[in-house]
Amino acid sequence: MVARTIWNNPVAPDDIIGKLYPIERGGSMPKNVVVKTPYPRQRVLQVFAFDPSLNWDLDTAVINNLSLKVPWENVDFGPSGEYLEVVDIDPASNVFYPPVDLDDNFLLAQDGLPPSEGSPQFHQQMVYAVVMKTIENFEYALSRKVLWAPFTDSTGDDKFVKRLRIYPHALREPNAYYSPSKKALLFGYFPASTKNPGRNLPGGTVFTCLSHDIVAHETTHALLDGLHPYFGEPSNLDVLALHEAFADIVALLQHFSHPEVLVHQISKTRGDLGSDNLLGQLARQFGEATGKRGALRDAINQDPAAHPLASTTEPHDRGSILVAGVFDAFLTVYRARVADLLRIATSGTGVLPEGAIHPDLVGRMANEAAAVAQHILTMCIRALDYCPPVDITFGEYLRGLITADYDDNPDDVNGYRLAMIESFRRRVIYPDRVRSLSEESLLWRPPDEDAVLSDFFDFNRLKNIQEYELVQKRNLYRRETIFGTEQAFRKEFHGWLHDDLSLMYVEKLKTIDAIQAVLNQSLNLKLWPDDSQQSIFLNEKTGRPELEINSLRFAYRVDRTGRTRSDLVIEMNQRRRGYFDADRQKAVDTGKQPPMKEDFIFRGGSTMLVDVETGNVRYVISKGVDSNRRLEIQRRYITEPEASLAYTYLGSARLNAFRLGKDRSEPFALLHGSEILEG
Amino acid sequence: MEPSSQADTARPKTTTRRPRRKKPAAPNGNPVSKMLDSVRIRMYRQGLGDCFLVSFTNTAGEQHHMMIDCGVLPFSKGGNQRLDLAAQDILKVTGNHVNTVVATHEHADHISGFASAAEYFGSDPKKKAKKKLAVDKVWLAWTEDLNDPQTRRIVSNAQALNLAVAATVHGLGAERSKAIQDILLFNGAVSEEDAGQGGSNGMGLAGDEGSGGKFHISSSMVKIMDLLRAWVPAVDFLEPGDTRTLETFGVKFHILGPSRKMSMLGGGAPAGARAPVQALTPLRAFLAAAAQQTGFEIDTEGEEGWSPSDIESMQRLSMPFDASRSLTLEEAAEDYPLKDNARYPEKLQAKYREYYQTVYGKGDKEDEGRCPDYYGATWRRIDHDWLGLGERLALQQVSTINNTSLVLAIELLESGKVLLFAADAEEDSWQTWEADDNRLDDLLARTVVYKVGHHGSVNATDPHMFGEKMCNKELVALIPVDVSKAKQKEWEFPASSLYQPQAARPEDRGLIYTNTGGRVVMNCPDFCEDTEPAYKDQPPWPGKLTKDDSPDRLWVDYELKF
Repeated sequence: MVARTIWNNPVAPDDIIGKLYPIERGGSMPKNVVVKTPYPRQRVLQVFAFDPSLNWDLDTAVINNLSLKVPWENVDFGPSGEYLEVVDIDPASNVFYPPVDLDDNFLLAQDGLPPSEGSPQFHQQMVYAVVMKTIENFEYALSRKVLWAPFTDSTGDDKFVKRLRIYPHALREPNAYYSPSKKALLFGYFPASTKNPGRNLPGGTVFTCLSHDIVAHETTHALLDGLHPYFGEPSNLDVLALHEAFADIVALLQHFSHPEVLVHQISKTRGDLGSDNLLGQLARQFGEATGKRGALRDAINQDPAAHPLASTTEPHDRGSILVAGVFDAFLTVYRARVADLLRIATSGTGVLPEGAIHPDLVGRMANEAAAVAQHILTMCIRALDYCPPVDITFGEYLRGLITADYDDNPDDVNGYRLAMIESFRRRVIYPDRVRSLSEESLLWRPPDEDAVLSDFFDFNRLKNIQEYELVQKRNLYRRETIFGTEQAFRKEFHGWLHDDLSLMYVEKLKTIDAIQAVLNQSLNLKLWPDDSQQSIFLNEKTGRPELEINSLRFAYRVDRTGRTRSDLVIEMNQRRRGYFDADRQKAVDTGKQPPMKEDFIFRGGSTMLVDVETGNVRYVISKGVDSNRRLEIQRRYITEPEASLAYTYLGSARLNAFRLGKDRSEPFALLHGSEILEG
Repeated sequence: MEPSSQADTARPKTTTRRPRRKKPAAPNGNPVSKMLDSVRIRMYRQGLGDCFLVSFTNTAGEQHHMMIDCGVLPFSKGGNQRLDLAAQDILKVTGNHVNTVVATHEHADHISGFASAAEYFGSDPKKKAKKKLAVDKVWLAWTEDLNDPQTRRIVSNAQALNLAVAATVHGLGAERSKAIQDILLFNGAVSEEDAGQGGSNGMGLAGDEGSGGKFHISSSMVKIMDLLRAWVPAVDFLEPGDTRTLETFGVKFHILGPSRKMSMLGGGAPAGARAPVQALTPLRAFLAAAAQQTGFEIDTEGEEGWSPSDIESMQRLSMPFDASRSLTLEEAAEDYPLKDNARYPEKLQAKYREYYQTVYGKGDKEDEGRCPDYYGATWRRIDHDWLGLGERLALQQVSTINNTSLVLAIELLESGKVLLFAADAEEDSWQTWEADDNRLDDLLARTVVYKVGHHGSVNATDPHMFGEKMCNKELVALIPVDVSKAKQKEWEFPASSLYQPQAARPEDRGLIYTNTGGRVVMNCPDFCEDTEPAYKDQPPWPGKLTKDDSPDRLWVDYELKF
């Protein structure tokens, strides 16, 4: 066997076509005889398709045992590999469950351990497989490697975090979360309700790490946090809701990537995925076991009128409106795409006869559903590169969705964008300041003939960017190098913006005010101190406004000629001191009072997409740090009392998220804190 | 239930004042000769807690005194001394005779005085009273009736919560559990820093690791409730929908809550679906682990309803896997030396331990200067994360007890005015209130005095019910809150969404401010910066407001005359 340690560098699968192993057989065999073994492409692992509760129904038991194919990688005990390490500590029981060894020959021969609630090693295998699958979906959509959020050490430096840590039995309660401070997923287990257990055994143990949906949901939180560090700061009603919604969307759409499940459910619903079915529900066992009489969340048949966006404030509930919107768009496109199949199958009437439908028809419809779901999932993930870096709203996410899809798929033959816009419109999710809800007004607009930007991305800088891209591409499989290279390039890019940009205009414009005026128009950043905005954080050394480059990554798209193009996605943000008292804010801003300790942090920033080949700035998506309107929205939002005893005694969770040094409660918990624990 | 009085015929239909002295007819047709002349609500200024004396006087000059709660949070500076003064004042004012004592629920800030000032009240048979207070009746909510099966479930649930929270505090240590300990003050616990301020009465109990003791939630509140249950021969346990009438004063008491249907109080569970005593529930699974893993010692007498052996068997039951499938953390941390001829299973054993130790177990030292992804980094350990549930449970415990609050609407029959004493009822309670004859909305609409729920916290005044239904033009609010103490603990009493008189714009001053036109009184023992202006700035007051002008500043009176 090939020697293998967990410390070795990950090997790029594409580099290795086969592995050569010398054969030791006495001394008669010539030395140069070798057997060529192809490198494995994927590892097959058994998991529950949904959760253990489906095994109790004869009807669903057949599809619940799923063989998941995840990308092959070297793994060691844990499993721990390139992206993950499963550490099975259960502090409430004071025990450690021995780690599974997926490379054990017996396990390799039978697709891993068979699904079992009673084997902690199967639990480890399942979380590993589901998290890896979710990562694969992300990497597929983004065409790049994913990185976890960095660890910020005591000196403020960002350090690379190679593996997300997974604790499958960390908590003894009906909950699970991604912990941003530990870069870890913590899953809980608990006895099912004795009052309303649904189909669970009353008091029987329910494991959140065995719920496919919950694992995918929490993983998505971690992935999103790695991409957008400030999407966990609840500066408006939508920010945390978007985090929840996005995690649900990924979990939901992943249901459609399992053909066996899809065929079964399409056959059962006779192709009508808008009727009650497993695919549109999330975490059924968990919902039932906690006494909710059904799945934790259900995206089907959610009547927009019964869930008005305006009055829904709890992040999970608000998020589920967005989820229902995306699912609705999925249904619209799916129905349009199977309409012809139905006509063919029914001699043109489109009305199916009573009884089961033909297996071939089911198969074709399943293909359509899988394709549509994959497209929408990709659309939703790609949209993340088209979002402002801070203070995201649902409306901006919609614009990101539309623009990302437009870039990748300009013609929209299947009407994805149309369906999405219509579905959002029905839920009263409108972007700010657009003229209409037509596709062209929702697309982010390129800056027209902006001399500042085109001068900035001149030949030399473009060359630097292209070199940066080349380095990143060459290190495609070395995530730590990708991280380190980006960190270094961030410093360089910071210098460009902070120092060089202004120097370009010194001779022509002379005064700083004039320079700032010109730059502000193009970039919406504060590069020089502003007398009317003195609450903006200044760098102590330079005396100029702080500027953080928080991302320099590449997004890929296919242009009209079929060529893959890459854009550099630049995300920048700045901080400002926020005060509860608007008068004090004004006094500090105008310099009447010195900038005293802030009540909260307010952020502004921009996302810029620059074509790496031409240097064209394709979009500037900005939310200025100087916006007093946004500041007022955030102030109102975080000072608004929440009707709970926790608010009275422990203070506002929203507010605590903006106070440095305050102990933050876990922001991404599956259940919100006010749920009553059954006694 | 007592027979209904003349209320049905005499009930005014509107809130406008009826002509004075029009005698309503009694059920038997005879005119009632005595009527209400005045009602005076005395709010004592003992600190963060409730203590009210409501005195009715009728036209014949007879008086009926009703005491609603008498307590103070143990940290309130000199709180007990002030309660002693209040007790003496009550004796003086009532001539040593209180007709009815109402104890709304089992929290220190409502009932501690019945123990600490027992020498004045004579409420504790073990303590010799200087002057014996005569009490005719004690009113408690059905949630205090230990013969009631639903009450027993609430009590046992509360005990389990108590124990889980105490074990959590023990496991987290003093520093990390500060917030929880503060919440536990309501249960009569005294934290060390506050105890020094003269708050301790020897009944609340402090515990901390420093002194080698253990943190324990005191059972003192239960003991005080026992005193109240034994004070008079027949305690009246009241249910929502019940009424009581004072014929000779023209006063009718409506009990609005606590509802038996509240899910927090075990309502809504299908009959017969109760968990058997030994069944595993999410709370019990956590409790067992918390009690065992934190080294928390349980009284062997099983005072909290749980004995050490109960906990042990519960913990065995709640282990997620067969014991043969795991190593204890101590075992995993031990080295596993291998002999030269070691075989596969032993090698595997060694590898398990090696994995644990590299990834998790050797993280005792800070990983300074190393890559943060260094295995075993302390910042990634999860030793205490699971105890985070304890904080939620502390809130759940306090909420449960708050929601057992007896909610009382006092209807003054002739004038049609209503005094609402909401105790500490939270929104769950508000939303399940019920009154006899479905008169809830009617009673709320005629409320002219509102004893604000739970010191003005945001979830103890339902914004819809209060905002839309309690809109009487004569409404006055009494908030028993010591603003400076609340600020010190960073508790939002009163909530800014309810009462923020200093806000510049009128619409930001809060719901209570809006509905009362700013006629709000608080009971801070010292100067209340937020309230003092209210005394003078908000004329006209529908009733008469008087303050104790003596140096003690012991009370505020609000009196309605007819």
